[in-house]
Amino acid sequence: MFQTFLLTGLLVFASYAVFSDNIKRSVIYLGIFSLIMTLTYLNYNAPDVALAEAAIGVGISTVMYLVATKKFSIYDICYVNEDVEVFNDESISEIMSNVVRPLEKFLERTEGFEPQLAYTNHPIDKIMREDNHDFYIHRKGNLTYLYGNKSDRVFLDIVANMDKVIKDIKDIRVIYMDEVGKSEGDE
Amino acid sequence: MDFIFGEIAGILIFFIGLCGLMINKSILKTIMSLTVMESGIILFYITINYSPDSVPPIGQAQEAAFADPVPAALMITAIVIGIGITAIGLTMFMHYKQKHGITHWTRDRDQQGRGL
Amino acid sequence: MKETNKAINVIRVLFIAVSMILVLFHFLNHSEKLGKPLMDYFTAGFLKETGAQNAVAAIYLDYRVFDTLFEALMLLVSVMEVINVSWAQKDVRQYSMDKELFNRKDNSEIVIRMVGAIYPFVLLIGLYTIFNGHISPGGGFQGGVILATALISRYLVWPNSDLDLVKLENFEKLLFLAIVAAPVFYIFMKIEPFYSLISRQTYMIFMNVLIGLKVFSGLSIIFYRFVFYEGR
Repeated sequence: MFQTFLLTGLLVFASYAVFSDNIKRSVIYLGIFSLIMTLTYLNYNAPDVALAEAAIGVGISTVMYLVATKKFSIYDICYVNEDVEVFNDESISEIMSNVVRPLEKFLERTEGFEPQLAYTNHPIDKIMREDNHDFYIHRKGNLTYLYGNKSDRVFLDIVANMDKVIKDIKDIRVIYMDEVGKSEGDE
Repeated sequence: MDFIFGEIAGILIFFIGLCGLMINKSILKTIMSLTVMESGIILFYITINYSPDSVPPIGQAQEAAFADPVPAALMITAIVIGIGITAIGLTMFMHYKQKHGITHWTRDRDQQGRGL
Repeated sequence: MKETNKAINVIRVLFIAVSMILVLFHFLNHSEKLGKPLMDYFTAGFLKETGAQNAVAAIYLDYRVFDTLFEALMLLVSVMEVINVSWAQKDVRQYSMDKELFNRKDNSEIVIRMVGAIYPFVLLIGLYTIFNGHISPGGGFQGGVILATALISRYLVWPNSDLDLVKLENFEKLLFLAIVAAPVFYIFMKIEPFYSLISRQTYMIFMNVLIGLKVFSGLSIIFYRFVFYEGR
């Protein structure tokens, strides 16, 4: 009975750890999975393996995942530029210095977030209809549009400190997706 | 009552990890899926020769049979190698993120179908 | 990125389901039951032959010592790979927390005081696990990992890279040489000062201490490289 309970818990927490959306939650689920795995080994008469799993899976592995996700906490950003035909390393490093790096530094300093970037050259309407990012940067000619939600605190912080964050680009328009149509002023 | 055994649970956990490895796009989730797969294999090996009325293989108590110590001794080395694999994976992920600014396997929407 | 290409995901899930059903079917119907000759051989007289009361320690230190050698080699290779990959920053990024020790945002005073209280006990349990590896559950790997956990808790209190990693690497390589040399001289060439239980148990404790120190130094090198040399 106890064995059935343990094995069912293993399956449930393995599914949680693998299919969860949030990465930090996933790390904690993986720690719980390792803890139940320790009890299972102890139940199957292998105390040496249980000790090794308790020290490694619950201790060191969880700490290493947490350090990795602390250095890279996730804030989901999509960068759209329809003029570029193929995104390769050059076109990424071109925008890296004046848009992406300052944004990353600002987010990490104030919010403790790390942006997670996706680059694409598909039309913005299709992406906004199909995908679900937190924050869109849309480059169109000389203009730069920022799309975000008004209820998002991080996005409001970015907009309020826009002159400190992005210095090189002058023409920036902010569009709140909650109230579409009311575009806010220039920077 | 016992409708699930250790071996079956090991195989199921292995395939849960494989499914996550194929479906997830995030590199960190992929490393986690590798850890889950490895745990499934270790569970399979530990329970492959298990008999319920055995005792842990320590000491000289001969009134009951010993549990099998061979897979335990093999799997300890497997666990220690697994933490090495995880460390290498995380280090490569962080280096890749810092150099190229990418946390997912797919960069362009055209390539998203290929996955992995 | 919440994108889905639905058809391909369905194909993947179908592939997983079909292969799982196939493996389960084969396992439940056609699994052959092997006998237990290895287990009978290993558990027959391991106390008399090797001097260890723990059968697992007897296997990985005496009967199948090649496993331990190549496991140590794998750990050494993984440490070298971590050092090789993490060349993003050549310099160590240090935190300046000499003056405001208790004023940092991330480190609370509760954590610092409690880790300081727990730290000697973690060291004690790690050393106990190493030294009693041949008569109780435990051994070199587990004890080394517990010692590395103690070093990680030290990082929580004092996040400063004042550890000399180069010395630790050289120490680890020397330990690997010793791990290779001890079984070669003792088990393969049968060079024993006197054949008795005491000699065997001394060999067990010596090997456990070597393996524990090697795993400890390897994991702490990995962790400190990981924390200080990568990221921003």
